[in-house]
Amino acid sequence: MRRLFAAALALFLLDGPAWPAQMSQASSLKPVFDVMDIVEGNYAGDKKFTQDDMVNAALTGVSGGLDRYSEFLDQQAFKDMKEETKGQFGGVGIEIGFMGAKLSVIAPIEGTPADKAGLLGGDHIARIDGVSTDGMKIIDAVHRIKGTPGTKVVLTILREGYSPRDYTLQRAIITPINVRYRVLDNGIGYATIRSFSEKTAENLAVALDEFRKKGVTGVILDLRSNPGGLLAEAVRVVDLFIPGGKLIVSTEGRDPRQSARYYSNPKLNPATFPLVVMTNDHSASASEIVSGALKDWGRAVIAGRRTFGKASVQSIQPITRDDSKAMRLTIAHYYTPKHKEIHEVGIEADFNIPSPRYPALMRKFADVSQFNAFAASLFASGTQWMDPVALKEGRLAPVPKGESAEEFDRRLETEFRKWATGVGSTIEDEDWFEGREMALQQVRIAVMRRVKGEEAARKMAVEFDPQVKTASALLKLALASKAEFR
Amino acid sequence: MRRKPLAVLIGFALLGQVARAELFDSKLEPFLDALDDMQTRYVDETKVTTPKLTENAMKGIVDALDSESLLLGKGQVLGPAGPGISIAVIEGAVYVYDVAEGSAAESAGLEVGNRILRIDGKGASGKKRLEVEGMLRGAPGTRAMLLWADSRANYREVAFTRSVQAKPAWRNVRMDSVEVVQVFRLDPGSAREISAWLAKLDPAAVSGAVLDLRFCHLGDPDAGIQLADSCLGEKVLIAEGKGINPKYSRRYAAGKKGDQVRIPLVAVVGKWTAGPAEILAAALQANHRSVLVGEKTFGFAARQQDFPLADGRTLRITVERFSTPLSASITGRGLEPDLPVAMPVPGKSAMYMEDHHVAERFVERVLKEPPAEYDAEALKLGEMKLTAAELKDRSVAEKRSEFETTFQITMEAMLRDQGLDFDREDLEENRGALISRVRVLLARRLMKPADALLASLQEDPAIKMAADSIGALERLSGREKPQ
Repeated sequence: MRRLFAAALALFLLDGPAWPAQMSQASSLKPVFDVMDIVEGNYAGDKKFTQDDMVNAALTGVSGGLDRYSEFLDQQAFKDMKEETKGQFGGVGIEIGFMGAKLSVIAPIEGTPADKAGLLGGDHIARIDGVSTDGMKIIDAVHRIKGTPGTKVVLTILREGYSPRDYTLQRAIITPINVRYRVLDNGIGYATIRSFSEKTAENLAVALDEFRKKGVTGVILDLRSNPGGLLAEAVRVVDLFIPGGKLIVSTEGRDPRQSARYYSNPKLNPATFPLVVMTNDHSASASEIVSGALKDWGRAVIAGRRTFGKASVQSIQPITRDDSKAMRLTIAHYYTPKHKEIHEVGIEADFNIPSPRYPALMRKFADVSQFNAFAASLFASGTQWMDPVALKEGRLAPVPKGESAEEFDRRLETEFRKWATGVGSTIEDEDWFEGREMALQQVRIAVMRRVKGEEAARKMAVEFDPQVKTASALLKLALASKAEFR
Repeated sequence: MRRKPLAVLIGFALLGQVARAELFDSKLEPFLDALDDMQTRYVDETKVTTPKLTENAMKGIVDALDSESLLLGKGQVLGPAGPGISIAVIEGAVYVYDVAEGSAAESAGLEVGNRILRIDGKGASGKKRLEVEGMLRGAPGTRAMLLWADSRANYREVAFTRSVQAKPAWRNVRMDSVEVVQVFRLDPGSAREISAWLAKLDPAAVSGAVLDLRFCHLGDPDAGIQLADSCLGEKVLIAEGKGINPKYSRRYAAGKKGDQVRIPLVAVVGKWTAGPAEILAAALQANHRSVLVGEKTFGFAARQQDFPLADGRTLRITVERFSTPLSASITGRGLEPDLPVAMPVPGKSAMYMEDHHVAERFVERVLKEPPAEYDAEALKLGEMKLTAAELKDRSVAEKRSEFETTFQITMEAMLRDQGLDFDREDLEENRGALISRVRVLLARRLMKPADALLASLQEDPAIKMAADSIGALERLSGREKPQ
């Protein structure tokens, strides 16, 4: 409080005669204190409404009157937020979510305790440290699984075709992989950024080096469904692709300290690959800085859907001495190098690729656990019509000199529909016709996951992705016609 | 740029010096620091003016309190007319707990348990109960648009013309030797009327009274205490109040004039029973003055007090929460019935029948072409029974099963004629409920309102059980059944 007094006194010294105006300011805050007093002294809730509750409630109210990105963060929310932006936390290394009504592993992260122990996407988590996950909220499950590195957590896993098993995992520092990359079968480098946290640009630089070494012909940077993250990382990502001295983004705030212009650094060798940036309507914020700058400088073709349109910068300011609570506040808007308004407009794609339509069938079989279950049944029911050598590599193929690929697919399809009927999800002909291709791809991915693990399954999924296929075709076409990409 | 936030700090400092030492509590420092920061850095200065921050801080605090605690505008009054529904708020969701007979809401098909989502395009969820009432009510003849979801999550939106509902606070119906008292609102006036009326009942002339409290929601807690007082002996504990302010931590006991009501009582409660009705039910139950029949109650019995604010508005907050005489909190828990009667949950086939208006069609059919097995004269008066010839020389149980069999045959024939697809098993499963529904529909069509009400109460399982338990009480105590 002493600091506040000092500040107040300082103003008195500078602005002595301004008393009456400030008096009116004082009286306009009084109603809040009156309400606080009345509530504290009289409110009979199910538990005492403490002064701490009061401050939380008042700040929740205050931030609610601003914009949708400004919010008050209580202790837990602030802790989660710090982990998110720092890009690491103590845990076992799985993403979790609901599949059907069951808490499940969405995917393990490569190299983490969960991955090393062999957890797979689609595994159901029945218990955490012996506590049933029935009716548990995701956020509770997350908090139970996360913890201090070195401590242990026991996950009881149900996997189709196996008996329930307890996995005792030692928690470690988990760094979610924000940049994944691989060279596609067609010789194009593909990198995806899930969100912009610390080290995102550093990791992307590693990917680009790898692409150089492998001599890729072009690069796809996938920013689909990337919700954003740290402004500085977005700037660094753009910097990897353009020569020095160019404006990347400018921010404009009411507080002059929040207005800034960010330029690229002079450098020897920015990446010169022909570049396609993939976006969709969930690419937001930092993703829009990257796509906006690369588009304005003519450095990349933006392919996909118009971006979300969130062009505001938030700062997170701790408001307690122990740094336990914070306020997230919109402090500036930002603009592309050509000073284009992004807010609620988004970045228009140069090349529109419609979002894939999910057939009714895929809504019915919405999660991978069902395809995993079918893959399990394939292995269990004998595989004499499948090529055993291919199967060892996680591929489904007819035995040599056996059926044609089409005949094989028809057999696979019959098996799948028979299985679906067996588990009470009979598929109508009409739905099957519409969703057949995607379903058979999912079957293949599930088989790969089972044999070679999550990473191989992920690679296969990228190869099947129709939007990535379109982006690749675009890049190839541009290369063939020697179109100017820079 | 630094002036504005500093002004806020000065405001605080001045207040602290001249008004309240406790404001200097370090707990409030984060609040003031955050306001300071917002006024300095937030991107749009028009949104962080001191009046706006003040208003939103107050709103934030009030939002964190229960649904009965809110800020009332200067001279704010509810309009006299509405669409004809009564609402309850459960965890921010707005539910219909009563639909006025003959109202616009009833003809639009709104039912108890439906969830109100929007009123005139504005979201209702997360609002305080009185705020939603404010949106619903207005001048007679004005219109309101309601969007609601039924129990099957079907959405419907209908425009209503508001009208004044003249629903009484309570009413009584004589059912055989039992008086059924339906209470819809407990306020000091209706509590006085009901206790005076009950006190006049002569134990020699009435077996007892069933107090139907299922549709009695919130209200003045004193009304519940007052009515309990007249039913309990002197000094008997009625309720316990608990509050932060010591003056609201107290015990309520029956006064000297207590024990005026001399007849046996059985209370029927349900999931909407709340406030004074819960206080009354808890007092009767804990003191063995009545058993509770029905479902677990709502679980909110509290007193609010109004605190005028300097800006002319009023802060209404909960200051006292009530516990039963056995010190169990009512709020957040509710009361468990002694004799549970669950409201039937309609199965798939019952929903199908409801969707196809099977009961309504049946009524049309039997009125148009009365089948020979039914007593045609009784049917004209709204009652469905078999002819005397059909029932001759049969025991009571046989008469009942004969009626059910006949009903089934008539119903099946009608369904077949109208091309509706039903399994016999589905029909058998829902037969009891269908017969009740048909009886109530017939009564409403053809009987005088009082008789129709009686007929519908006779088909009400909770009322039946309550009346039966009064009968059992009578037999156990060896009393004569009054004529």
